[in-house]
Amino acid sequence: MFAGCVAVSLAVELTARIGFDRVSKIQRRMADEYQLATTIGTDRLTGRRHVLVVGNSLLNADVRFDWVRDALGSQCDTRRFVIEQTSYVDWYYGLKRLFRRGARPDVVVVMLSTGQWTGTAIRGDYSAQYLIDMADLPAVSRDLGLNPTQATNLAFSSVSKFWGVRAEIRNFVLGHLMPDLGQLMSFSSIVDRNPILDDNVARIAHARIVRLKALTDMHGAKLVLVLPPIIAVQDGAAGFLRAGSAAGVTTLRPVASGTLALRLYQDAGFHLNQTGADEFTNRLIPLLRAELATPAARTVTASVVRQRDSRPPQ
Amino acid sequence: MFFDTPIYILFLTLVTLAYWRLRWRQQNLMLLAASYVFYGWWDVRFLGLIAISTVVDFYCAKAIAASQDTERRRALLTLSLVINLGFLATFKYFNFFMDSFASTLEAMGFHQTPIAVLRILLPPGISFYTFQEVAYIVDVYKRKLEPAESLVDYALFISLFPHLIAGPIQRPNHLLPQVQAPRTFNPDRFFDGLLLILSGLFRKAVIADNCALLADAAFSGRMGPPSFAVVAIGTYAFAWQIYGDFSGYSDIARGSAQLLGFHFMVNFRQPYLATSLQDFWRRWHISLSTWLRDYLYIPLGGNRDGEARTYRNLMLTMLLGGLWHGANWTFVVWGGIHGVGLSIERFIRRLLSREEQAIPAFWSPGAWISRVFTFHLVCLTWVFFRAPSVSEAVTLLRGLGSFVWVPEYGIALRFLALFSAPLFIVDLFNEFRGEEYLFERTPEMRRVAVGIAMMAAVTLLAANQLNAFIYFRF
Repeated sequence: MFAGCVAVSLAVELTARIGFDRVSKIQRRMADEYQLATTIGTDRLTGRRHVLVVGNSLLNADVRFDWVRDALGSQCDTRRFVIEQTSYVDWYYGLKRLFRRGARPDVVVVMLSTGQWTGTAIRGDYSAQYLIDMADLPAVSRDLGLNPTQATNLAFSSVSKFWGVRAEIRNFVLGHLMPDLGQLMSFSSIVDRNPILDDNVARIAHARIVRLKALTDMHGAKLVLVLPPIIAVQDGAAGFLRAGSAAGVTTLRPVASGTLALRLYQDAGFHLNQTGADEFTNRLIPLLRAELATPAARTVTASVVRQRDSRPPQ
Repeated sequence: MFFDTPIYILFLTLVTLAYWRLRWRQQNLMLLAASYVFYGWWDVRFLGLIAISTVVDFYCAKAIAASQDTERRRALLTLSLVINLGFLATFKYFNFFMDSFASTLEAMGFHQTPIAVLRILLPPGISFYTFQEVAYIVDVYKRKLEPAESLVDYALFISLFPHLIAGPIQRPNHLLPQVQAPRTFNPDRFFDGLLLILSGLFRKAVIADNCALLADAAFSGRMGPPSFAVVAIGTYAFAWQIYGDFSGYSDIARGSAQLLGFHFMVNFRQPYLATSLQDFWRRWHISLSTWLRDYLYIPLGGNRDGEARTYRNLMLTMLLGGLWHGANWTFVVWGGIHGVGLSIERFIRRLLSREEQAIPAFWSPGAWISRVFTFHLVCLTWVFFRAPSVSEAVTLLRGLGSFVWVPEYGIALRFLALFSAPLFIVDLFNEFRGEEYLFERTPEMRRVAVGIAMMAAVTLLAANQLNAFIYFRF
């Protein structure tokens, strides 16, 4: 009987490892981006600058990455790695893992909201599959104050593909059983309308930016931060900009929060829709170009660049 | 460690493999050690507490049984009850009563009165193992049970890990003899234990955790301000969440015990098919309802001292039963509504001269009308059970008078139907077959098929919530 249980468990694990990346579009995209992210900069012969852009659904929704890649041109090998519902802790350890696996970008661009910079959550078991190495689990447990059950769950997720991606498996199955479920999830998603205090953000973000900069410096990469535009005016961005400046890290803020109309968002003011993404991307590209043109880190660039022409750059 | 986590599966596997290689006395020692490891995993600081209360009760019970002096016996019983219930009151209710006292003083105009507030952590499972200890000491006192001769046996009866954190509350005369006797390996029972665990995982990870998404969204206001649709969706979702959660936990507990050769009492018998509140309480959390009946309601006098006292005893039992669930007035109100409902039912039965409730034919319209009515009455009480405060529960219920509709509510209802229907169908099946669990008397191949189906459902549809089992908080 135990043998039967073990056999079924192995079959489930095997199916998750082999099958899921093939049937799920999101999973396939994520796995492909992960693969590209781990190999960035490993080919130095091309002479190109290697730019790795990481973030969550805000990066996915707000930035027309194909425009960015085209705009930065053939001088840059620009790659993106997006995992939805991730925050600072996910990406600190995620970048650590990427570097450990051989990634050697010249520039790391991180796009998170101020709330995601200062929060204490991770994506969960999925993070342990793709972002957190087993060796870093004790540190993650300490950082997040995890109890033994949560910590061992992460450990299992690190080892077992099925355990790590089971939420995605569920979303995939439900997405086919109820295609309009996404509409309900968007409708009932958590939108924190509490104003985010600049001083709090400055205090927490500074330490985290310094820590992340130390990591990227150790691997010879320049760190650039991007703030997305959410609809709330009081999003702590001023505090974040202060923190970035004090840490000696460039922070790009193409569009200030609260300045875009609600019609440019696809939900209650968090993710941009297609039109909003076009506008944001058009404003981001010149700032990125300027930043990549300078070899050393500058202090804060937080200008909103007016674009007369909103068509994609040629 | 939660029952639906890999660490528990690993722990259970290792314990079970080691267990069946040992002889009976060694098995008890090993299980006791494993149970303390299990409990210490939650918080090692509370091991001392459970150990102290176990030792006190063991020696009190032996002394009670050995004594013929009524006063001495009563004094020892009182000592045990004071210690057990004192621990429970201190750790679970101290801050609650202090906060309530402070609020009352505030309301009376006494502001900023210094009130002692201790940061007291709630030891996991204290409500459950305390009740088990009380049952034991009372049964020994009443000479219904011989005290355990071995401290190891008694300690294992109290702390056996499948039931330690959230029950089912085991009766001493049911579990203790099993602990005190050798267990034999039965392949069929072992296999059914595995299937019970799968059933529990299905109920918890698929049904309860998915319904929880809707319930949380509705109760937190993310589906909009309280309206008929929001309250209905949230309440129905919570009804299936708490049932799936707690019955799932109970199945995993029973299945885990069955792997080790123990039989735990059934805790749920299709409660949402009840035709009255009295029937509901014979089907819901049976281990608690029977405990309350035998150790609270009957000692208070039960229905022996006239109608007025019967209603008083009913209300007291349900109010305290509500309070047992948590240190919040919402639970007291929840229990109070059940108490009032049970009293009204009793009154109507007596008015119609029906001493025992007549059970209507299962498919009769009358039976289904009663079921629907009872289900909605229970759902009304769930609003108080789920809401963080009485005022928020009242605000939610007031929303029933407001009619707002958006297309997302239709999606929510379909989602709810998708995840509640399977459990409802399983309940109908169990009700007809009168089985203790779904596949109890099913041919082996069908049991295997059911097991595979549940495993597939858990694999594909388990919500990744790491939600604590609701009753772990009690």
